[in-house]
Amino acid sequence: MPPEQQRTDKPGVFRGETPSPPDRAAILIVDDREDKRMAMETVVADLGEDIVKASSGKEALRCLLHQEFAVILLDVNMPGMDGFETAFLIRERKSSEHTPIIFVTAISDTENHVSRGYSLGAVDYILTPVLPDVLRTKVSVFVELFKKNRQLKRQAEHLQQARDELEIRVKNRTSQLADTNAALREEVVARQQAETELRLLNLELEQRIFERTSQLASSNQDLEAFTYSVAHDLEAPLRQMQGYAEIMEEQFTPLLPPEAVRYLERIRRRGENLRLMLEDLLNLSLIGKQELSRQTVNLNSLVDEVITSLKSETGERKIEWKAGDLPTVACDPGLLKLVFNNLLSNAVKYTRPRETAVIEIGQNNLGGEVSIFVRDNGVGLDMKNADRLFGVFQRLHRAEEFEGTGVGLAIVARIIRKHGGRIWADGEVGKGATFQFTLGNSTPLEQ
Amino acid sequence: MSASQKGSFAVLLVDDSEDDRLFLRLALRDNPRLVVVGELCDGEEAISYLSGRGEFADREKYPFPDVMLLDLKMPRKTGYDVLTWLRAQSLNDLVVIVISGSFLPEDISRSLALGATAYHRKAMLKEEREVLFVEIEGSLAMRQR
Repeated sequence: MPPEQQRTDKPGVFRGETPSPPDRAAILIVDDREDKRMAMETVVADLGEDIVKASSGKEALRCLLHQEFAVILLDVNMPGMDGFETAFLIRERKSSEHTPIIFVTAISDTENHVSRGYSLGAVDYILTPVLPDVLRTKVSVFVELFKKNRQLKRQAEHLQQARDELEIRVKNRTSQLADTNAALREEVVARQQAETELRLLNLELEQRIFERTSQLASSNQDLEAFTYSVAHDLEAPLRQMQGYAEIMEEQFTPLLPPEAVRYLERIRRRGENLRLMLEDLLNLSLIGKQELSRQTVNLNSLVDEVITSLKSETGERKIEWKAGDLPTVACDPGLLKLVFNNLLSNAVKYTRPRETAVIEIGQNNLGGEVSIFVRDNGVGLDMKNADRLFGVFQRLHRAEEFEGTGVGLAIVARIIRKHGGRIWADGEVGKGATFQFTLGNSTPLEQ
Repeated sequence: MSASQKGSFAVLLVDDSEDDRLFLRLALRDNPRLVVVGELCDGEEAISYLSGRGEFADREKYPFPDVMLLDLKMPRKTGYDVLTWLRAQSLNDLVVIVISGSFLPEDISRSLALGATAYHRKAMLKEEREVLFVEIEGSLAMRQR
């Protein structure tokens, strides 16, 4: 019977999840007689399994070399190698030691055969003449067992495969993890190194800050001592020299030649210059130390006060004051007054050669930042010297032309910087000067 | 208070600078109401004078002053030492005017905090006659009230 037909008879097999080709089991029929082989084949063929026939024990053993069988139907009585001998050899082989063997024997020999057969590993007996149903049932039991075993084996193989795959994956994953761990470890080491370096840098920085701070503290102390010394020790002899010059002038002028009187006056005046310079220097250092006390200040009223006090000193001079709209800011009013006093006195001073001085105060908007300016039509300034303007004792004119200590703008600049602002100057020789400053973040809190 | 009854005030000058004492003396000479009764060179002498110790016990010769003009920076005991000592005495009638060349804010505030009646910055003669006299007379007037 062709296998295809067999299968169509059993659609269940066909519908199985996988059409694994060797789904059928093999049955080995061993008998020396052709007719008996045929008879058994006919009966067993109904099971739809593969059937292999051997005519002798030798042939049977040969078949067992190539193939695995679900069950062996073994005739006991065969010439040459009989069924028992064959069974013995089958059992000897590792691959077939568990293959079920059904002995086929005549009733007459039963007693004798059965005991011997069992001792050789037979699992069952079929008596001749064969009853087809009995044979089919017995064989089918082994076939089923075989198939179940085979399935279990396959499942076990699958499981093993899955386990192997899993193992490989675990191994891969483990090695990945190990790699990652190694990388992490390296990173940790690198970080620790970086941390150590950072700590060292910090220590170094702290050390430097400490050194710098003590340097600053000591130079602050020096400065303090210097300031104190200027205020107490340098001031005294200077004032005393002036004092004596004053007494000489007061008491001895009638006795002195006019030239001597002129020289005395000069001594007193130069002394006065030096005294003002000392005072300005002291003021400059005092401003450096002073804490800002910010208040909401209307710069217009501040400027008006300064102008009023300056007007009392300018006497006959023609000065046109143009005070524009100024903002209200948070600043130190005393210090800002000093700023305007210095800038406006400068403007008054350097416009002296003009018949009519024009001094203008206003505000500019420099991209969101408000600046205050003081502009005059005075003698102006050479921009080459602009950076020297705000230094201490930097004078751009001879003392005979314009009096002053050369500290005023340094004081102004220091006050502006203390407020967080900037100051700069524009001008041209003979064409007036403009001083402009900002006050940093000085938006008043309430307005 | 014999001096004030006569319409004049006894002034004690305490300054280590001979020059400054001379200037003050010359300036005070122009105010007949202010009579210099003593000139001292440091704080220790000032304390001895005020407490009438040793030779200063003779109040005929060393009368107790109405006004003390006190310099700050002096050897041995400074003006601050004198002011500190004075706080522990009960000499409320004594007008103490600190006279100094310094205009450092800390000198001014410390002097006043220690109880000085006024702080005067030393100046030229002409100015002393205008300013110092007013300060002394003003302080005395305050005291009498």
